[in-house]
Amino acid sequence: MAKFKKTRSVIPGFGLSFGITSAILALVVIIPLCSLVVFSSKLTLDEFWGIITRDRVLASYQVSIITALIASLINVVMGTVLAWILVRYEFPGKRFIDGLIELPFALPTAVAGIALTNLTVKNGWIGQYFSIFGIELAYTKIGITIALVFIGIPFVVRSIQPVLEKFDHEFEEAAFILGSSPSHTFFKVILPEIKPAIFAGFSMAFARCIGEYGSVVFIAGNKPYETEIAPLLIMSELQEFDYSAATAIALVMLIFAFVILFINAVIQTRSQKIVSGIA
Amino acid sequence: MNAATLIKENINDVKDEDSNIYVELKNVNKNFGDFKASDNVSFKVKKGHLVGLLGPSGSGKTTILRILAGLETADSGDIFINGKRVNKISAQKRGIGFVFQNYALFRYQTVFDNVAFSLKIEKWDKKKIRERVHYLLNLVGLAGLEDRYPNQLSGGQRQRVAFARALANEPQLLLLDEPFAAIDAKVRQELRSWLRELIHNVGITSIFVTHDQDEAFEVADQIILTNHGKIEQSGSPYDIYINPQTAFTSKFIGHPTLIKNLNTLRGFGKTPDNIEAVVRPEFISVARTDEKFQYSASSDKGVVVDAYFRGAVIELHVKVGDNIFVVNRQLAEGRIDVGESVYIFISRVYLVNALKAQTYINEALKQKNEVYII
Amino acid sequence: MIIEENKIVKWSLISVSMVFLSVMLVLPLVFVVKTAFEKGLPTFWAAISDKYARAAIWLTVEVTVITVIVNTFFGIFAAWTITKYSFRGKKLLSALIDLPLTISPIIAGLIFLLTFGRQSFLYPILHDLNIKIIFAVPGIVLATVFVTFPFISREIIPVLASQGKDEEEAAALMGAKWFRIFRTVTFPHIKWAFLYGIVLCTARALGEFGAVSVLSGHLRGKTNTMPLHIELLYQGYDFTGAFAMSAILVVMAIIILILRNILEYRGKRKLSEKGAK
Repeated sequence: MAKFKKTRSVIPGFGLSFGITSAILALVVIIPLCSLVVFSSKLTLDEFWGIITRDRVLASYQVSIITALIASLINVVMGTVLAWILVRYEFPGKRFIDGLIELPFALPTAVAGIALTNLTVKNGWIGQYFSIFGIELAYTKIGITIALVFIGIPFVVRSIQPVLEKFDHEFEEAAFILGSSPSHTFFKVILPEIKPAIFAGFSMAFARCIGEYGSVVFIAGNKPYETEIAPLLIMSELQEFDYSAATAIALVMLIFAFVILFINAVIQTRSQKIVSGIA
Repeated sequence: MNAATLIKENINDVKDEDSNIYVELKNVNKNFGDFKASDNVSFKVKKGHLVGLLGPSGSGKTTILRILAGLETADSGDIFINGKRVNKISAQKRGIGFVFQNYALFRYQTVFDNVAFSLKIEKWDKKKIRERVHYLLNLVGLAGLEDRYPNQLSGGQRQRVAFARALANEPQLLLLDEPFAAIDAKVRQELRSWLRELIHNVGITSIFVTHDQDEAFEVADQIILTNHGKIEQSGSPYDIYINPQTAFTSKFIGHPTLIKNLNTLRGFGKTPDNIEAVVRPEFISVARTDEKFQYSASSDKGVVVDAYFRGAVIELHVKVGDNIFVVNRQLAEGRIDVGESVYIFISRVYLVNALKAQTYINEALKQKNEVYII
Repeated sequence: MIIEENKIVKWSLISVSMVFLSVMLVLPLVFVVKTAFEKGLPTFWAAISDKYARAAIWLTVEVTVITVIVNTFFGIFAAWTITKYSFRGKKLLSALIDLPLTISPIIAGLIFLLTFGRQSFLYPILHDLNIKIIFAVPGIVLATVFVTFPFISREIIPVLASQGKDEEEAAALMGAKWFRIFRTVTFPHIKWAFLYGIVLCTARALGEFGAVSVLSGHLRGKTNTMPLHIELLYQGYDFTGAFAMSAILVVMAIIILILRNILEYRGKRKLSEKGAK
């Protein structure tokens, strides 16, 4: 009773809104996630280990991680440039570009997938220029990476943009007066300030790319050991009704995604502490 | 008059005293984790009084106000409003009006709707609501601004709206959290006297929280001084100012300076050696060595080390032995410059130990045969 | 020299960005629309008015509407609970709400498959009651609700958090009940963020592919949503049909982007009005 009293607020409706919130949360998120845990607990450790160390599974993890990593790194560079020009420059069509950034959120992934695939096949609008040099885009890891770059664009831009907007011009002016060159100012003054935001954008894009399915499935070609991503492998295990294998593979992916987000959380709190001065 | 009637009258006195009390807190405690926000707080407020809860930030004054309002729940202790224990009574039913620090005006409602809010909840009829709102807006001097939104008002006007809204459903107790904090210094001065007058006209018992002692002294009938969740001292502004009872009070009120070795100064006889003393500028008078000085026999000689021109007064820093005293000299008394030798006479100091403060008057003032020469 | 004064840097950065965005974002859009109408309007019309296409469009609309309603309802209560009260476990609650964002759509489908599928202890009960969830519309709805779960609450929470709870406390002190406080005091603050959340939620619900793909069973005309129907047509080499359906979704995406921008603009304007003294 005493504990309950402490949390009592003068604003009415706590019981009602807390109850509704947790009930829906339980139905939609908690119970289904628990069933994943329950189901995987039926596997013995040996079985589990056996599944996730199969060559094909390991290869799919490798494909997923490498392509997601490269795509996210490309997005870090392009996302920083995009955020920079959107915040610092005036040019015709700026508002249009600003609005366009979120297209990957708005466009269904399957549509993006088939469009990118048809653009990058050998005789596609883009693919034809690369095939001159003997480079294939669609149905290779490069194709997967292209799809993942598409998916990840908004994450980095939208994470850096607000930080840059708030960034005080006085820092740069101070650096300028102290004799810093523009590039020195960018790398030594501005970049450290936006680094946490860059990392936040990177880890969100990375986590999303690791799990991406819709846009990749068309462009990947899905050749086992070469262009088969982990989510696709889960899908094919499910189509063969091998739920144990699917669950085991999924669990590893989940843990991997959580680790990324956890590292990000640690980095964000650390930089928060530096800024706010709490030791 | 026999003994029996005397006792009876005494009892009546006590009764009278009690029936006059509108708010009472008894041994109220409140912790936030390890932090003691209220530490055994007890006080009484008379009906119709305007009380200032004064203290530095983090001293627990706002917590007391919020507990009274029912916005926070005390861990232990009793809260009485109008003789009724209200611990278990919800905030809405305590019959209070609350003015928030930033007013918490509903930003998406007009001035009229803001003031009418509680009346609509109590389902007054429309005509009466309109009359009441107009009466209140007239009272606070905002007639004609009914259709404005809070963001279209100045800080002072917003405060007036907040005040009208808090009074709308005729509460018996008005609580104000730092009512002047969000207002420009100039307007603040004007609002203080306005608020004091208005509250006395309406006749409502009011408690306000402030960290600004000038504000508390100017507005309040009674001041409750808080520090570290405890009540340090409670009394009339005059009493608090002139007779600080605790170490904290004596060091918090006014602009005190610490004195080392009171014994080395004249006029205070023998005082224990390792005791702290504080003095305020208004208890020190100063004169050039060539001027006639009232208490020259009990004065100390010193040198002016700093002088600040403050307009009406000149603030002098006078070094006497190890001590540097801050003294205000009226502009009309003539200027004194840095480096000049002066006499200072200290009329009153407060001796402070860990807990208590004690007033010491200069011995020269106690002598009946003192000759006043000015 | 302050960095942005360098014209060469400025225009080379802008050009690089333009090329990047044109290739990555604009070109796919153009390609979809062009391919859809390549063989003329009648072919396009035939493709999208086909019986199965119509069923897919209808199912997608249905699923989207239900999803938005559920998530709106949830989003408002969740945001209100998290910002207006203090209670133990609040951080955990908000972490759990955001959890679906980090989960692969395929895994989202999988967990519902495990919860309601043949191997689940719930299966016999559902079977007896004749309720079909997996490979049926309820499964599709659940999966879509899951992947869009935090979309609305995430938009509202920052706005409510920055607004504080003074206004609600003031209203409560004057005796207002929950619904009146929400309607007259709180809701005007979150109006734009709330609509914005709905737009985002709609966008994702319309296009969800992975999670739905796991749970749908791919029955033409019954459990095929638009994205699934596109996949089906595409894999059957009916490119015109696939891109015709895609064109509808592209138009939806563009409408959503425009709405998004209008709402963001209005929201920002409201914010600056609030800031003005």
